[in-house]
Amino acid sequence: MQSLVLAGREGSPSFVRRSARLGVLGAVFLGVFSGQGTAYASGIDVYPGSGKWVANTVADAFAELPTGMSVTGVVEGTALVGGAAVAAAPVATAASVAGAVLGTAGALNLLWHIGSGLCIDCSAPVIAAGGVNPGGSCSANSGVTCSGNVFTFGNGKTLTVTMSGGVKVGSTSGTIYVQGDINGSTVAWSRVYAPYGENPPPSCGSGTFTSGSKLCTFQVAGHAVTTAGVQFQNVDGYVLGYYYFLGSGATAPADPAPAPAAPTGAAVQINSTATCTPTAGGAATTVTSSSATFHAGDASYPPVPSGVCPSGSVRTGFSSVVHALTDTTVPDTIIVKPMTLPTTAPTAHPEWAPCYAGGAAYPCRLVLTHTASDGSTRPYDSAVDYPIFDPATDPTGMKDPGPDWSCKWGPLAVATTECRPVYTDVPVGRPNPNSQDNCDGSGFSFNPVSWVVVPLKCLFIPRQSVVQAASATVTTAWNGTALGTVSTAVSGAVAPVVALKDNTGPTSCDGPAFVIPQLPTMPHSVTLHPFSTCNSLTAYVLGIYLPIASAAIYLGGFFAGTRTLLKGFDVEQGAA
Amino acid sequence: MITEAIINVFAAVVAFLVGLLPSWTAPDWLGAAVSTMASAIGDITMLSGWVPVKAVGTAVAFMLACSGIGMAVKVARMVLSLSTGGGGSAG
Repeated sequence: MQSLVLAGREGSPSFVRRSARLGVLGAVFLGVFSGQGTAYASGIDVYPGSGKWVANTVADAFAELPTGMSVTGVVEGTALVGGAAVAAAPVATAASVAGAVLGTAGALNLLWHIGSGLCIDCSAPVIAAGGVNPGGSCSANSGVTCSGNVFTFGNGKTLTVTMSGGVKVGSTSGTIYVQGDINGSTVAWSRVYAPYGENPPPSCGSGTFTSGSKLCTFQVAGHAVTTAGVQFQNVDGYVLGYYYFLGSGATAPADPAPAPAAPTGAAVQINSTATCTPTAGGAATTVTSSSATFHAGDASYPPVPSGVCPSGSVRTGFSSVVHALTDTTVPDTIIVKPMTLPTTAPTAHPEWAPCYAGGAAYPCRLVLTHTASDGSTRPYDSAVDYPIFDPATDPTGMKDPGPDWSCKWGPLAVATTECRPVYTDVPVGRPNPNSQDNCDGSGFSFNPVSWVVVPLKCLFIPRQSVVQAASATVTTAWNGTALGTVSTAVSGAVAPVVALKDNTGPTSCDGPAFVIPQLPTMPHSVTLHPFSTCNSLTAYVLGIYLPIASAAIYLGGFFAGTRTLLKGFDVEQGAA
Repeated sequence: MITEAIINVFAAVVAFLVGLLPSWTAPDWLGAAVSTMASAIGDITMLSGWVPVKAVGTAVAFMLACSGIGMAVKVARMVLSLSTGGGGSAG
């Protein structure tokens, strides 16, 4: 009969503490275990502080129990990934606990009762109930009798129980609980034997363990006994241990995705209202549109909805506000001023007069048109009544879309860099005369100041696109050369070293882990942390050594760097 | 416009001169060596409890920056020495 084995392994005390407390009831449970060799419960192992424990490994452990041995237990989960805890639930043989996935700080309190908790009838060492296998022996010293489920022994006498084969708990410390009721006393009696381990500890209470069997002797002490002696009855024993999955064998599931951060700030929405005027004349209408709901604490905001005017009409007015959805005390925040077209064209663009109110072409549609290589044109006004070439462009300026683009406001030709409505200081539906790029003559006006300022600006201030194109030309040529290839490789090699300056230090005091795979003579794989700094003495020494070493490295780097720098000026340090 | 024209001409000249340099395709072992070095650096960071890797990274970054600046100064001095008709030398 296989013994129930709880494999364990010593780990660092900085990790979750493990204690396997093996409760064995005197003669009852000890007789359960007979010497039939050892068996290790697969899947239950000790994990050094970080890993995942899959619930079905409980079934693996219980599956190794011999036929007829019943095990009932309680599995409790703590600190599970995702925050939910597994409620205590009974675990039967070959059963599993669904959903018990643990994270790095997870633990399981595996509590099981072995057998039915009844005493062995020493006259016939058969477990009365519970289905445990018979076995073992029960002997009593002189003066101890056993009848039924009651041990009776006189004061000062000892009950010696021998368990052959025994229960192995690996190399972990263990605690044997022996408890029961003492006849005539309302106080539960118990003895705790610790430590208990696979390699027998030097003592077990008042007794010793011997190889191949577990021997415990215990005495009833401190209790008055009658002349009839003490009856040891209704005994019970239990195994209580903390188990962590070592990871051998089963593949741990991935952590579930973390719950999205709760939105911060009030829920708001951008509401836009567009005034649409039919090009054929008639009353204007309004079109409203809203953005998706977002919060002030969001990393990005949705774009301002534009509100599309129906076909045959153009937008002649627009406004947009940020509206709080739930907090009624917060007024709407205006982000786009309500605007209507002025009646007269600006002095900078008198040629735009036909498109203003009362003008012959009013209302005018702003259309950006692309001319393909084959000469075909494609106006970008299908979605909105005035197209926006690059919505991300700074509204105070606009990137030059290139010579294959053209813009017209109604019948009027305007600069493509102005082909975008500006919401702030110019009426909607009109090109932006404040564009930085009016160098094609569209910015000309009768203002004498602009006759000087605009030409000088256009002559000496390069456009960003031109600078970027020149840089790209040089970079492309350089990357194709041998020097460029070598510099790229050197950069790739140096970058990780330079990135060390951003190192924030170790996330765990364990250091790197080295796993020794399971060998034929080993019950499981072993994970070592030879560079662990969790030890208090090591941490103390490192606390002194590291700052000194860092200071020395900083000073050495400073002097070496400055020496190299000075060499560029032909200045040698220490030169005569 | 004027500045843009100068920039375009300068870029074209530089690109032409750079294009005269021989081209070269990096062998596979160079990429593998770079990857191996990056992996080794990553392993070293695991020993950050014993080795002050942040100090090492900062010192290396500073030395590289000083080397780059020093080299740039030296090259600039060499170029300027040519413009003086060889009256000075920064070689």
